[in-house]
Amino acid sequence: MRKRTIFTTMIDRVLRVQPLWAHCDVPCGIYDPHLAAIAAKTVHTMNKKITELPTPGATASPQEVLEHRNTIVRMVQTKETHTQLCKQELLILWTDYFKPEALAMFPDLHEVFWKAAKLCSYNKQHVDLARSQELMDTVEKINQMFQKAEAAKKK
Amino acid sequence: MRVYGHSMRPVLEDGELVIVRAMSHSLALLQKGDLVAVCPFKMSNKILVKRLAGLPRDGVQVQEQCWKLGMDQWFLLGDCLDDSLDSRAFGPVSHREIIGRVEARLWPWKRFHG
Repeated sequence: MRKRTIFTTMIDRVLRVQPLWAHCDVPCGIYDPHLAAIAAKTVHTMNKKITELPTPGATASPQEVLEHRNTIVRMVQTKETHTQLCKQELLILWTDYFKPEALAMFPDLHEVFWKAAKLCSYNKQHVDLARSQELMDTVEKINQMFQKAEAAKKK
Repeated sequence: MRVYGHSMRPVLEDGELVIVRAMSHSLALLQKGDLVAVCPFKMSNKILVKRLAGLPRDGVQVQEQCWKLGMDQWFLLGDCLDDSLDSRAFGPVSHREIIGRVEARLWPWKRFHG
């Protein structure tokens, strides 16, 4: 699969272009950590938005309170979906892409993935900007491992 | 919808945009050879694009394997048989799993085709 640019990914999200899969990860060996990175960024963005959303005051009308609740629920739902997507994409990389031989190149491979998966679960349960930033950093670290493994393959 | 992967090359290339016409209520219009978008239950709700290789009650032979399709069984194959996960792996699909027919290629413009 050709590497998706951030531009293309954003266009697809804005226009709600759905993916149409002409492959499966198992038989054709096509992997890309980009989806996990975008999902982790979305989780962090949702945490920011939830944190910054002003709470309706004591004088707020019932409609304003309702709108506030609705906005919160939508943000949490998006965070939930993208945390799950991030975890799923990471697990595919961990279990299918990285082979046992990769441990020689990355001795902390299992620890990094395990930590990333746990961070996904934590970010589902909490609104914590520091931990969602940590998830983004960990996914970036995995991305770098992936790029190194790809470069090693070509040698 | 945007195509991801190579199993439908050369008709559909990775990254191309296509228009899918929802046909869940008009499956009788589908013909063998049509490109369809399907969401097989066994594929974790991923929407796949494949070619319709067998209609209900057809017999399908691929390489050395044969399938006899039932009343509501549709057989799908990728164009690149060596690089495709299709009905050979997840079996025939039912009408509830078919989303629609790929009607046109929208992008890139130079490969626009209805």
